[in-house]
Amino acid sequence: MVGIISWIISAIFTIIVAYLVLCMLSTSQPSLNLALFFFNWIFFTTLYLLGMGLMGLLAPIPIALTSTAGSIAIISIPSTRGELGTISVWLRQYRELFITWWGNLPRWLRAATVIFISYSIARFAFLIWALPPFIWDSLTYHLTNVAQWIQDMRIHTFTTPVERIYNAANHEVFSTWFALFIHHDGIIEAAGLPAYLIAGLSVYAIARQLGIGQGSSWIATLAYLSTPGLTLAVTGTKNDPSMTALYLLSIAVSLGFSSPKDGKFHQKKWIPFIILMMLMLYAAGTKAYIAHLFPGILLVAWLFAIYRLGWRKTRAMIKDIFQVLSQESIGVLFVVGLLLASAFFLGSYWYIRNWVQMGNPFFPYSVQVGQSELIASDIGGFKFGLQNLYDTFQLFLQRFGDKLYLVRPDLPYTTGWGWVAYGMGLPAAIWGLIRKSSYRILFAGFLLSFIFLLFSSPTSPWNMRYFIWFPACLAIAIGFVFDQGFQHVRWIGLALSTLFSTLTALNLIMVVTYNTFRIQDIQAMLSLPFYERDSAAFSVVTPKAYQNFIENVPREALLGYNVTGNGFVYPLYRGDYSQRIVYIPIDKDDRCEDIIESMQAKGTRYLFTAPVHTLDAVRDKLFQCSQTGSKLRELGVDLYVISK
Amino acid sequence: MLSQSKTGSLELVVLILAMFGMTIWYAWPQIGYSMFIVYDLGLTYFPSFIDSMLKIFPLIR
Repeated sequence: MVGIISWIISAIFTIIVAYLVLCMLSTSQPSLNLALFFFNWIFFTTLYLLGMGLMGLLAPIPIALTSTAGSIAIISIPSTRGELGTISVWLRQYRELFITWWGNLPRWLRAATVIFISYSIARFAFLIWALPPFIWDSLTYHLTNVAQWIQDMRIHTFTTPVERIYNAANHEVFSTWFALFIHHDGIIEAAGLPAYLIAGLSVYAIARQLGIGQGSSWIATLAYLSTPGLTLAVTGTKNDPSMTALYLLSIAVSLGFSSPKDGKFHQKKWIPFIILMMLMLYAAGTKAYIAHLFPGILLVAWLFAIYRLGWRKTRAMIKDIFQVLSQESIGVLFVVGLLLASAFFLGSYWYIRNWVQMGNPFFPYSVQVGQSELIASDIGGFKFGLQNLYDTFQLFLQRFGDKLYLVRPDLPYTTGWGWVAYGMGLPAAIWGLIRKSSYRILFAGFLLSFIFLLFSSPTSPWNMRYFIWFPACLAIAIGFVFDQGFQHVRWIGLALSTLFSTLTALNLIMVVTYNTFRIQDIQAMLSLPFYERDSAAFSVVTPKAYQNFIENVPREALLGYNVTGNGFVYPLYRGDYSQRIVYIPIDKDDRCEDIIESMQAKGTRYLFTAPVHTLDAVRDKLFQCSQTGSKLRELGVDLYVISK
Repeated sequence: MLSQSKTGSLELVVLILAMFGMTIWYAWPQIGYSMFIVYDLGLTYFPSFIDSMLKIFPLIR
């Protein structure tokens, strides 16, 4: 109960701050403002939890107390209190806008929208509620961080063989907000939903800024939101949907530099500049590949400015950004400085920490440019070069069309772009490139980001998950086609809307479940009470050894474990983070007595191993120890205990 | 004006035909995958869901 109350208090505080930042950095485009509100909330919640976590105060009560103090401080300052008073006006304006907007949509689109939204809510809610986290990378490092931080009430590094816990982790900090207060991972998959909303609103905002009508822009939005690669990843507890949202929102904001219709943007060009800085830095602290996407964003901003304003006005506008900003009041400059400092902190913290602790800002990865390795590492890393571009492009061609495999959340051997993008999006994009000059500019930006990412993308079977933002560009082309189609004879509009509805429905059918489990597997999880749906109990994902430890190791005991650098650690914490764990390094040449001594030195009697996740040589060694009269005996499969 | 509209319509007809063509190209093997999912849900999930519900009811006192 304390957790739930603390959660509500912290939600109120973070929402208030997100709204106040929006008041200062708002635009005259309602859809973009809504997307910015969600981004502000993610940004501030991450900043807040990171700050509390670094101070060792990552727990419900300290967060509730600081949130209460923060909310009282905001209410007691007259200017911020005044801004808060506009919330009701804001909500009323959105209500009126929505009613007008809804009334302007064609009837078939209203029906399609109701079905799409109802289906999406039901599907997301069911999958979040029914299944525990299950994606490989989440069980090795993303959620391992979250679990250890919650147990220790502190954001820090810890001893584990999984070196990827050192990766930039803004999304993991944000995900912590969904598990910290109830001390359970039951709804942690919901952490991807704000990114899904931002992605949709950004596509709508881009389409509107390109002059596409309301109905057609909404069709583009639905077309993108039905993309299987995105929908499957949203509740997959990884950070790719977050990166997608940040990229698309950056494109939408970058159009604001030159938007002629946008009065506020037009007068204060520093607003999109500051927002873009916040977006880029937050993204850098989420995943380093934003650096490869950035040239495309820059190209869109630059080319649109020239296209709309001309060379001379574009140059003048860039000068204006800083000139107009410098004329703002001290209060505005102070807040802008604070926002940029916060963004810099979120964007650099993880890299500076790794540099200080490990001597490599990109630890555990190497950095290779062409043939020369700038930073060395055992597990490989970022490669930049033409050879890599050639290799990844070949892989992309193989995956084009999703012919090789079923579309799954981490996109093995597939693009996950789906029926709408391939069926309607690609022909629409070719038509848009021929017919629409503004679309050519947008496409150039997306293409540049795509190529830059191919330059450095790993050649793994799962690398297309970094590209799930690209179908947004195809969806916007569909918006252009509908805009044109609505103006022509009725049957053309009818043919387009029938095809769109059919393909969207096929996209939705494709993602009913994760395409990874049999219905019986889902039923098996449903047969457990909500609080016992641990990743360790999900036998289709984790080997039997994980279910065995749940049955045989008491929650209050310290559990020793030995897995490889790519092994599942997260399930060992259990869903309610009640199990304390400690890593026991073992060499295959260690004697049984050495292993027992090592376990005792770490204060544990139990030792967990698992096939696939532990080296076979280590498993063989432990089995031998249990059979040759040492104090180590086997307790079910792959679990060992020191006899008393 | 009329001829311009006709040109535009013809262009959109070609575009719609291209869309149908791409849809057919994408359909294999996706349609098979989707049918599998529908089959799995329709014929496996709902009957067994009802079955498990019927088994649960006697346990509720």
